[in-house]
Amino acid sequence: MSHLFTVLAGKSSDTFKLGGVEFQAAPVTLREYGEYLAIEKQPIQVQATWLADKLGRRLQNTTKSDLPEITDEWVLDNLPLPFLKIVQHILLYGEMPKEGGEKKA
Amino acid sequence: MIWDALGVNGWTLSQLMELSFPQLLFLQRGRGRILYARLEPQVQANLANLSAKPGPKGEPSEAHKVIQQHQKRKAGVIVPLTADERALAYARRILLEPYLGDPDVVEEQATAGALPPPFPGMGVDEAQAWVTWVQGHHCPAPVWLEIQTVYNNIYAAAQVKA
Repeated sequence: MSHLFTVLAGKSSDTFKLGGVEFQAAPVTLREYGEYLAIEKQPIQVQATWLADKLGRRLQNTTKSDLPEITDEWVLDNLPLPFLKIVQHILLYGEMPKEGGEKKA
Repeated sequence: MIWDALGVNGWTLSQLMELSFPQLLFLQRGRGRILYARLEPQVQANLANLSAKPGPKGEPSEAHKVIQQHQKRKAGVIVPLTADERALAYARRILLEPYLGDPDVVEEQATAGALPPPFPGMGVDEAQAWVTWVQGHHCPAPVWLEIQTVYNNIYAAAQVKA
């Protein structure tokens, strides 16, 4: 039942870490993902603004004082290119990709 | 995928675009409709007690009680909770924080909400006479259409002494 509420609220119980900072794996809306689809094929420097905006809203433990400000530069420094596909999957589906298997449709 | 949900259960495209992908899957599998089908008998059972007939000793009917409560709420009359009720509501609000946001924000809004300004130049007795007249269903529809925009202010003027 708690999973049902989590899905309906557009949240996620999963978290993931980038550069030592914890984020909630909450899915973006279809409108936001549509914005991303328009710039998906462009270099990471162009995508960094969108990613920084969406990741900055998903910071976990927002009461901690030593959290960095998520900016374009922070994304470019801390998001390795091999992880980009995983972050895209998390932002669309709201959960970590299943290991080795096809993602559920 | 979006087209499956569009046009089936009355959702517009802009509403669907504000959903996340898991929410869209949820909608597309029709679970919303299944939940509604389960809940609908309960909703109908709750409404079955409602009638507009007055009670045997001339008490106001269920429908009129509901209408009076609605008017009170619209007029901003806040029934104070007991200490236990307030603690329980606050604790629930804290536990639901991941879904509803910071509980203290709502607390501030609730305390900021108050009666609308009383009708200028109207005494308490006059205002109470108006309120009694309206709540006793003696107010004809044309007059109600005239006063309904300021009825909340008249109600507030009647509460000044209390």
